[in-house]
Amino acid sequence: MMFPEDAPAEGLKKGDKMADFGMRAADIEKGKLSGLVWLADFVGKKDSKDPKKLLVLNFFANWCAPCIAEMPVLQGLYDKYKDKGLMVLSVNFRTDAEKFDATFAESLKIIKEKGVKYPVLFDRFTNRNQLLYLGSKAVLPCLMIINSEGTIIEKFQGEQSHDLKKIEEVIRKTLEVK
Amino acid sequence: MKKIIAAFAVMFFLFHAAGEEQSAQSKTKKLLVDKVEAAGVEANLAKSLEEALVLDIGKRENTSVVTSAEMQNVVKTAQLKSEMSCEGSDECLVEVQKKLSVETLISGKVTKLGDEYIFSINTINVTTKTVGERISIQGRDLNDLKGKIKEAVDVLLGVSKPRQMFKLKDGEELKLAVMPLTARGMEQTTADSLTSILSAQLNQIKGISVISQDDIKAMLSKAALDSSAECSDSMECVVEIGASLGLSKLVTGAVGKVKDTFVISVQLIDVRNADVVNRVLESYTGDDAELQNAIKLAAYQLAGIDYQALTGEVDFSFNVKKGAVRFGDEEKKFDKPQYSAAGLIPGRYFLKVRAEDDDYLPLQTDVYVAPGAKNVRTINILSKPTPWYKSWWFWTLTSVVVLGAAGTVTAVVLLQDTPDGSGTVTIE
Repeated sequence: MMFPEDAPAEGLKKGDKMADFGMRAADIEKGKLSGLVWLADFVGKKDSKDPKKLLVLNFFANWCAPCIAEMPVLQGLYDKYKDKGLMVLSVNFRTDAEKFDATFAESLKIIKEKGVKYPVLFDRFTNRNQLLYLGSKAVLPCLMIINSEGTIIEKFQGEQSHDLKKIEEVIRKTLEVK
Repeated sequence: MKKIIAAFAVMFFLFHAAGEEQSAQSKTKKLLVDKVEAAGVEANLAKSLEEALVLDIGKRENTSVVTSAEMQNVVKTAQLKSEMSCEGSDECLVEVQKKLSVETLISGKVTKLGDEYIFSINTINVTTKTVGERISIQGRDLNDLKGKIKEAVDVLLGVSKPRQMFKLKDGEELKLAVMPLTARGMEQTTADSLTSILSAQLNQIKGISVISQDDIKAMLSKAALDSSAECSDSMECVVEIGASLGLSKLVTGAVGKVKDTFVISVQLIDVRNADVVNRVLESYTGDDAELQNAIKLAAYQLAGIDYQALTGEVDFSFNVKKGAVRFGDEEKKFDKPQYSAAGLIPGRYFLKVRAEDDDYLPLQTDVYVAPGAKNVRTINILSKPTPWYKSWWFWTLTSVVVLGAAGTVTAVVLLQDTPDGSGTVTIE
């Protein structure tokens, strides 16, 4: 396991093993937090029947307009490839100055507006886990593709994150979709 | 002829051996369950636990149980105790039980720590007058405690060893957090110090690394400031914090004081399954100086480490020069105000000190030997309160009264007997 203090300043990169943390998922319909989920539970290695499982791990902040803009696109990818073994997760990032309750309420509003159905995760206590992935400068948007072994096979950050064509290409290749 | 003698000898041996075996099997152990003491809890709860204890022991093969109530009815124990002028001490009870030919005395005490009840039970060997097994069980209510009595009695009577829930395997790496221990009936600063000791002790165990208290406190304070989102119980919150830290396990607990009994309760929690994987409960009657030794022992128990080989030492000094000391099973006289012992198996020990000088009260207390540690203490033996007839104020008052009375009498006598010089003397 890697801790933020051990992570490189640019955050986890392509070829690194993912770091595992538990966070609370949002119950979008009821508008509240639900149970704890762990990132590693969404990678394919634990499910031998679905070895091609692929995780798209996306980070967003309420104030990050490009992050919010790509939400419907990610929902589209999820709908298109979920039967092939794709999982999409979004993790909320907030700065130390942002209060959790207000952030959560606003995020719920955005999620509903954008029609997000895939799990969206929140950490009430810390942003250190997110910084581990994003790097100390917390450049957003940030999207990672993680294979069934828990290895980061692609990382798209900042402007790269808009290259949705390339993202879909990686998904199709890894899931062996013709 | 030799063959016949040999056959008889074999038969005699077999018959004798069978008889011995039968006698051993049918030998019934006589136990006495003393009244369970209610320390800061309802007397009915203590009574119900005593009944449950008697019921469980009574159901077992080769045991015969006598209750304190039965004993009192039969031999008027109270009267006996009073005659022996040793009310309230284990030693006295042992003497009483001897008269009843009971081998083992079982005594218990129930206290409350926060929302949980702690039921401590121990055995006293009547013959050797030593405290045998001790065990504490923890429960939310009477039924919860009752459900755990069987397992506790199994351990007390040596039927089974305490169930160890978690054991750190060789080569296993465990990174964990120790959450600040909750203080119950004592200062939070004491609990915070014990949290630090527990963290440091766990950190010293091979394979365990503990994340810093500063990190945890920073997160906890942020949580307290930051969110009013639902967090229905503390366990849920603690598990969530552990998950945020990316930890598979963490330690929570409380430390409390109920009357003169200290209780340390710590749990090892599996964060992923939100499950308690090991639970340690240490309770003792004695000085708060022993808390740090008790928590060090608890650290090893929590990690499931075999600490028997990590023997410890004690070095006690007393404020009396001569007397007798009983430490665990050992009893000896001392003519220097000091007692020390080494090579001790870590655990809780019973210490009794009796000064040769009759002006001091006997001292009975629990002390701990932590794994690989030396317990150095200065133990103060209290002097007996001075009887009123020996006190300075009594003699001062008496002197004043006596002198006053003497003065008054003298004055009265002098006044009455002195001629006033106004009489008439007639000379014929």
